[in-house]
Amino acid sequence: MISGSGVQVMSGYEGGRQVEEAELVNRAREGSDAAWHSLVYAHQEAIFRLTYLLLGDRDEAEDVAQDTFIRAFHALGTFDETRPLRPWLLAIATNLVRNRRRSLGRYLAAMRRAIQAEPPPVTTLGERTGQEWEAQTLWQAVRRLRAAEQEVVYMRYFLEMSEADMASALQVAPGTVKSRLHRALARLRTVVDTDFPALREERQS
Amino acid sequence: MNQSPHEQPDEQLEQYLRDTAGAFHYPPTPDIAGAVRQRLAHDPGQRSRGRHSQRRLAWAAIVLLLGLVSSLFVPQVQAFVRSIFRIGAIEIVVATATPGASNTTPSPLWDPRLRGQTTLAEAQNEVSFPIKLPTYPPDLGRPNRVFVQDEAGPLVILGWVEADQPDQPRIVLYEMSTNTAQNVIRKTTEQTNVLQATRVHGREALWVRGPHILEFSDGRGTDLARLVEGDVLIWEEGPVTYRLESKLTLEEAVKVAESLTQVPELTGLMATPLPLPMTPVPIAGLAGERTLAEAQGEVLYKIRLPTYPQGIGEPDRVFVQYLGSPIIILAWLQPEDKTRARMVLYQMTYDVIGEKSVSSLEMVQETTVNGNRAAWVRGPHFLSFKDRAGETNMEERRLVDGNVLVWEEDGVTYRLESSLTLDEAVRVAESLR
Repeated sequence: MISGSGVQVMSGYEGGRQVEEAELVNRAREGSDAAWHSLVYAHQEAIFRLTYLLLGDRDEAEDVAQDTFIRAFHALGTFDETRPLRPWLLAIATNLVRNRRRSLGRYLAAMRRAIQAEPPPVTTLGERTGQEWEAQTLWQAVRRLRAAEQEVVYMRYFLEMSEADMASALQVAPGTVKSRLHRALARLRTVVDTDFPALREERQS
Repeated sequence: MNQSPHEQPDEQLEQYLRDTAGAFHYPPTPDIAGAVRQRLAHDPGQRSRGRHSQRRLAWAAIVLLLGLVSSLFVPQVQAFVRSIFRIGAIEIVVATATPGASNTTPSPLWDPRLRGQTTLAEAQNEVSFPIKLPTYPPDLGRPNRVFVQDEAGPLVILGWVEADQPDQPRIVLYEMSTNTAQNVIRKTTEQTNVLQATRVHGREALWVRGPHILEFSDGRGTDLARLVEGDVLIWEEGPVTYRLESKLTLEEAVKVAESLTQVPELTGLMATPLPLPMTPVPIAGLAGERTLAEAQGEVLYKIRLPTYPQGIGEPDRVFVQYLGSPIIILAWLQPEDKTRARMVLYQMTYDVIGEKSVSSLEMVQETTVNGNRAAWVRGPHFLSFKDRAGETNMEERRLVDGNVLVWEEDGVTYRLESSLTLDEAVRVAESLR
């Protein structure tokens, strides 16, 4: 949430929730699997959605999301529970995705080149609104960006994260987040203009 | 409004993105919490899908030998290494290398299965130390290939190819954070090669000669192996450890090593490190607290307590951690800061095999406790444990800033962390009742 002056009003964690979460983390550290279970439950959607956006495949995203929480569990000893859990989890997830992507990247890049002429049609099995179609197509456009650029776009506009949380999740300085976003938007504009004429019109209307 | 897209201010585009992304239809979130719970219940210590490499930092442990033996000839080193570094349940793994192992391919470095190929700038983004490049030989130029791995800590691999044979490596330089909890690369051994102590910038370094196998993980649980035909120079500079493979002579390799400099355009791109367990963890962070009586109930052997120094008393805190079978952790706290320990004693049996991975050039010294062979390990290091199946279960959290004495007695392995001198530590160890 950004107020008119550009100041972050809310980072996504109110004071009370943060305390509760720290409690659960401590209990999880001591071996309470119920505590870890509820933490996973609280964050699984966000982690799954980010990995889905990055990987484009539901099953892979589920794998990576699970691995994220397993890895996080084992690394709980190094986590500072006075800080919000989600950016840390997202950092782990992003790293796992990057590692996985690199080996697939070659092949996917080739595939992508092959279908570059037109964005792939979105087949709908159920009812989709016009806006959903647009969102899907926008996603295809974002997927043309480089991995680092995609990460910031998803985190900022799809997951609506603050720049501060993004900096934690990406393990970079907040200034770096800003400049990556700026570059990503510039690239995205170009991609949309050249390859996604339908989107361009939507946007300008 | 027919504004050219390039003129549209960012804010408008951002608003559009937010609105549109808000309508994005995600697949339903699966029951990840349930699946994670199941996985943790069945294998509480197991890393996911065996992806986690069992390969440990072993190769850096080679440098331990520098402090131990003055003449490094093959068979003696081998025997010596094997005998000193298995202390009961704790095995200090020393990397050596083996030529001619059966199922390895003498493939070039760029095994297509090796993941993580990237650019220098992106690699720098991923690691929290500045990547350095050699400026010697003068015709070297920028690396032809750059890989980043993060199996268990960031590792950068820089490769330069032969001018006339683009798939043959000319020089391969590995850079990794010395403080990384585990490292991916491990050379396995049946025979050692000649290990030679040398110096880079006046500091101890290690030169490993001869063909050998380098094993590493491809990140998906597959172990790759490669025949390295040249020689390897290993050294440390502050928080970064380097490994240089080449066919150069030792003198030339040292020149390359000493020529490493930072790359100006990369400096702004370094990642900030995640907090690492290098500083002693407050004792509050440790799981599994028990009373002494409870802990005794969980193991079949008698938990022994030191009777030296005089009046030491019972431990302030007792923990039991499970890595297959229980590890008893007894902690005596600092009087002035009860969140930190001044001495910690671990007790465990053979079901747990601890592997000491030494991540810095430090000394390991052989000694005895009550006539039993013991090892004295100085300085910061990491300890990891694996169970009989070979799966690594836990990364250590160092609880005391100090040194470690490891010994075995009557089937129980002990590990004493303290800031005591060796003599004092041995006295404590010999005082256990």
